[in-house]
Amino acid sequence: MDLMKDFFLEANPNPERIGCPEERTLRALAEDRLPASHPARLHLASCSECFAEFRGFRGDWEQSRKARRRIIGWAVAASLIVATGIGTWKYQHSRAAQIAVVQMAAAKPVNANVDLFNAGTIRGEDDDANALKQVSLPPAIVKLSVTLPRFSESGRYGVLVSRDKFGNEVLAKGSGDAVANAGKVIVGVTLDLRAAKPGAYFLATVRGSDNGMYYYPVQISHGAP
Amino acid sequence: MGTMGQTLLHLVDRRGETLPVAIRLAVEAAHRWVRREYPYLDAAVVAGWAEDVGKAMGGRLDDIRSPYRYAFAALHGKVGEWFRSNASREIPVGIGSELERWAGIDRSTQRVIYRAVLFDQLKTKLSERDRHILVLLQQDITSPASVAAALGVSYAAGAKAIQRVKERISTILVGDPTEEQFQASPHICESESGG
Repeated sequence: MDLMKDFFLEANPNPERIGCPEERTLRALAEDRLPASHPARLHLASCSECFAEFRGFRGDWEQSRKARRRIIGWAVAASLIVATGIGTWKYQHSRAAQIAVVQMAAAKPVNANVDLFNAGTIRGEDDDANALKQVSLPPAIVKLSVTLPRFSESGRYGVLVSRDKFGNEVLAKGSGDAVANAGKVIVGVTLDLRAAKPGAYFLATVRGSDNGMYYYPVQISHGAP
Repeated sequence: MGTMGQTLLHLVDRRGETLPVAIRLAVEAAHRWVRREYPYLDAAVVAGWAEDVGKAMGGRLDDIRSPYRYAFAALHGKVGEWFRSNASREIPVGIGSELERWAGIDRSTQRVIYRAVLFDQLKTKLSERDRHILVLLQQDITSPASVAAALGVSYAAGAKAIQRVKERISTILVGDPTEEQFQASPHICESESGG
């Protein structure tokens, strides 16, 4: 407790309430709605009853202010949570729409050409030293026209896309007949690469029942080829 | 009612009928005030007083002009009466504010000061202006500019008057303050020098 507060609460009894301001004035004083120069402020120095009432109003006002601040704090927090939720939902919604558009677009076959005429190859596990020519494909249904490396022969070819050069994790494969045209041998296949995530893969070609499979680095990325 | 407002008052008149809303609100406000102002008083005792005040008010509805004012005066009176009759049981938590720290007194000093005597001294030795300044401080009007505005004096005069009050309070409580006490003065108010 505060000595001076007790002094003003006890030392100036005014039971007849002589010269007392109205209750609403005391409330306004307590709620800081009146200026420092308001005469009722000085009256409190000579009237314990008014001082007590002032203290009562003041305490209630301070408590309600605290409660209001708490409520505002909670409201702000709730608003942030709601806003974040809405933002997240909108983002996911627009993302889903984007994905749907991409998927719809991906359902349409895309023509792509890969020219391996001058490409070096990796054959099996030991030919890493060969120079590699990297090509790009889109994550879509690809109608692929592969110009086979120099000296390739015509005939039935298998074409596949795998995660590594050992033929593991084959994403898509197809086959077609390679035909010679103007000195080049070209094979056409359709590969479904829609499930492929952007990244590095290998495009492999194999002729008929030949055991030898030739790998070429290929990049699958949006916007390719 | 905040943390202390958990007490539910049973506010009925002598016939057990619920009191009018205005009476209930007034008694509850006065009860909250007493709980805040005198937290060391037994909550059950204070609730009992509040309910008694409510009963008394219920029997005098026609005579009461301001329920709030009546409830405060009545409950305040009960608190005062209790302090008078239970003085020896009062917990001496009294003089613990910045003012007393500034003045350099400790609790052992407090214990030997009888409130009534002290208040008489304060009334005698403090001028009206001193009391005005002190009551403004109690209203959280602490800057010399605000005090000056309330007293209708210049800033410099207001600041000087605040300083004088400090000195007088110190003199009343423990005699003349030392230089160190002045320099170590906490913020009884927002002391600023100059105008």
